[in-house]
Amino acid sequence: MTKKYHSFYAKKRTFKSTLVEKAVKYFFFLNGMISVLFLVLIFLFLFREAFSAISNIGINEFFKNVEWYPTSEDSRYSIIPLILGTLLTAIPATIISSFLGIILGIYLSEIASGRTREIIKPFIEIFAGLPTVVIGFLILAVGSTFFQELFNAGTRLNALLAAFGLSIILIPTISSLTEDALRAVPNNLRMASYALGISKFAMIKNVVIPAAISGVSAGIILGFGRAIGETMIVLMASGNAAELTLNLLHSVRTITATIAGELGEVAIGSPHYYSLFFIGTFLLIITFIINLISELIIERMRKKLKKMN
Amino acid sequence: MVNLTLRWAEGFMEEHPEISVQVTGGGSGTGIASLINGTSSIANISRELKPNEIDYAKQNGVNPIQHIVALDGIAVIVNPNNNIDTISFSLLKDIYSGKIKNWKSINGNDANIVLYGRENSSGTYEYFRQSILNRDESGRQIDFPANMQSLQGTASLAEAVSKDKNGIGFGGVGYFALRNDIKVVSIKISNEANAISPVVNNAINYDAIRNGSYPLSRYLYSYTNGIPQGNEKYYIDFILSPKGQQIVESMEYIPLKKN
Amino acid sequence: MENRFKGNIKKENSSNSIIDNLLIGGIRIISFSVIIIFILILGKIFYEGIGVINWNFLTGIPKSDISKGGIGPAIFGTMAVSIIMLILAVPVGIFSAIYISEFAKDTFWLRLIRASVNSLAGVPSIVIGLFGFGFFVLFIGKSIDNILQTGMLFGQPAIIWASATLAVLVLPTIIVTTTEALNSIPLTFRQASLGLGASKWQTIRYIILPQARPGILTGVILALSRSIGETAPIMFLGCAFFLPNLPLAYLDLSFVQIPIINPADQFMHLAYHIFILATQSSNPTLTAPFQYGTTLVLVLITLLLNLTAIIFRFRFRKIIEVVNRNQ
Repeated sequence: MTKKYHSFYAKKRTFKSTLVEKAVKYFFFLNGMISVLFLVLIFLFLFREAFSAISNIGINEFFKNVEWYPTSEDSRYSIIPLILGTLLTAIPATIISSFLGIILGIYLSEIASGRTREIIKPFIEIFAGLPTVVIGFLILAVGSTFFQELFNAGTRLNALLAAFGLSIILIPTISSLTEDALRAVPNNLRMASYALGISKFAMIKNVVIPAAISGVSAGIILGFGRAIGETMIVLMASGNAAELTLNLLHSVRTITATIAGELGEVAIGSPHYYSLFFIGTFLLIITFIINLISELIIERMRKKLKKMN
Repeated sequence: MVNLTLRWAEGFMEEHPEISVQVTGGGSGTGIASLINGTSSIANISRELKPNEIDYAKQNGVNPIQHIVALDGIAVIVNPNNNIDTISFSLLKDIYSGKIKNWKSINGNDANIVLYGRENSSGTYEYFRQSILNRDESGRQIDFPANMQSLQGTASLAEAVSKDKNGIGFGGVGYFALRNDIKVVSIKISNEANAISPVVNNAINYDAIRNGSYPLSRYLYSYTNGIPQGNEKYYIDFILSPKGQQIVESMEYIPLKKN
Repeated sequence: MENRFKGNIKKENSSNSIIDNLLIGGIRIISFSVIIIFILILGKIFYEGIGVINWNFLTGIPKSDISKGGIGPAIFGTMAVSIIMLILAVPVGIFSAIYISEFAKDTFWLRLIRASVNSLAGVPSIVIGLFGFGFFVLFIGKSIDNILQTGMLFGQPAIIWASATLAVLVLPTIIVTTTEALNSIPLTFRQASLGLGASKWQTIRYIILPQARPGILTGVILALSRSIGETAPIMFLGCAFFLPNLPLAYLDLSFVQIPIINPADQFMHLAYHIFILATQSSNPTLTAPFQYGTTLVLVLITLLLNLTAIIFRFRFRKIIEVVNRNQ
């Protein structure tokens, strides 16, 4: 009798506790799904407003001519000069910061002593978190005059100036991703090259970097994505002229700066309002694709390194 | 006019400590947008509402009522190193429509003209486009050239022109009057007319702006949703009172009446 | 023959080593130049800004078109927005990380959540701001107003929507760092706990979470620091030029009134304040010390937060290393 009672009790407890465990699991699962939910919401919501733009203005308007005059009587909504402006700031910024960031990453991973690295690495990491408005302000207040004298540029605020500002935030990103990629290269590769009598630089150039190349390139692509999406620096430093130009010393207007400069001043429900959502959606899709590519590259690198080890 | 609005808010709250005034800034577009969207009870802006904006407001259940609260002179500025002192309306139009690209064409240095302006939804942008660029022969509105830089505020515009020896810009005269690192240009309506400057000896030329002999001036407006009542009425009354108008003058804008 | 060969190698080696040293030296020089530029940037902010920082500046209210007075309301507003942001984002972030690291098996759902977190992290902040304005303010806010008949209370830019938008922005940061922290806790801890008869929840609650605390804190601090520095998304979410009063509401308990943050109010914000000081103050030259002062305050806050995060992470790694070594 007692035995039976006991087993019944135990059974009841397990049943109850599995129920609790299940509930706990679902609770955490639902929290995890919130990221999915918001990603879907962002896409849905932006696409909805972008479709309103297409039905209000027409998709042709965004690509047909080359002028951005949303407040003119004869309003023109071409995204082309904005795309050009975005690329004209993001590409030079990516080139500058890839060059410097990769070198810095190589230095940290292969050359610097342990102690130096321990001091420099956190310092650079701190810089990655510096508010971009601070850099925008400094570029506007100090950098613009400095570079105008240096390049003798006709236009004080220009694409190159914005690119320099962007580089300040991209260098830490690229250098730490480079360093991570380099340090993930198995040490026996280095040892083997030393044993073959190759010089250090040749070892870095011919052995370590090729092994880490996908990680390094993922860093560059990620940096490019960040450059495209950055707002405050380009808003303050690029001069915001929606000009169709390929000259780096001309003032340009990026997609992000256009949204930031105009969204606060637009009547909700007007074609101008929807057009800002359209260019925002465009930006979202582009950055999404860029991030996807770098994600795939990193994934491939992980697999490759697993094989090596 | 956000700085003027700030001072008004400060002065108003000194008289009415029980009422709290919050000020959000940006261009006139911000004020218009927030009035239309119903997020502000009063919008101080530097241009009249456009018909389509009134339509949007009515759609959102907002009935904008206009109050004229002050006068503002729009000045054209260049770098102090520029040898140009006087510009006529037609030259200004040619410069700001992109027809004249080099200072040499108007007897200046051989250098490209760098155009500075404001964001496309600001009242100053709109005013300047209407009064200077206006329309071409076929009645089509003329736009600023695409290479005109849009700065986020008149202050950063003044800062840019002060450091750019080939720059030209425009904006509320109050931002420029006290600065020696920029030059306020005299304006002629036609080639024969007298050139008049909105700033004389670092002080605003109030009379010229008020009597219209300086051609570039505009009213500043407060818009309320419906006929102002309660706190909004106190606020509008305060702005129009001698004290409110004194604040206008202290901020380098032009009071409606001569004191 | 053999000798010549040897000599050749030696020669090649020595010329090689000169070039090698030059190239390595070049890497050093470029790296140090970058670091020096960074130091100069920080130095400029400190040098120009330190002079204006005093108690009045930190607590005072901006006066005379923000060129005098202080930045008290901006500091308060920044804190208010950040606190609500943390309340919204931290629990969800930590719970998500627990799901990813403790519950999920390599299924469709885990991959979906992982991919979403990564994608969300890559969405530009201005796009999140656009979403926050359209979704939180105009959709959620206006709906609340319609249902509760509160007029224009929620359907306008306000602290709560700025916080919610920033919460979406930093959620991936919290999830990724917390997941890393949880994953680095040795499996043996879990096995031991489960072996002693503890349930999964008990294991998480009493073993995993306390062990991972410094790692989780790192994520929270990084998220906080990131949200404080963001300007673009909050520009149209209730950031005000000037507010004479702090965004407070009073909880009336008849005998005492407790001030609480009013989530439906507008706010001033340090990052936005820097932006308007730089572009819209009546005379940027006059307000220059103020701009640098405000910038220094913002930079100091983010630097301190990031430094704390780095120290926490360092200590956390050490703990894990010790644990691993002892096994």
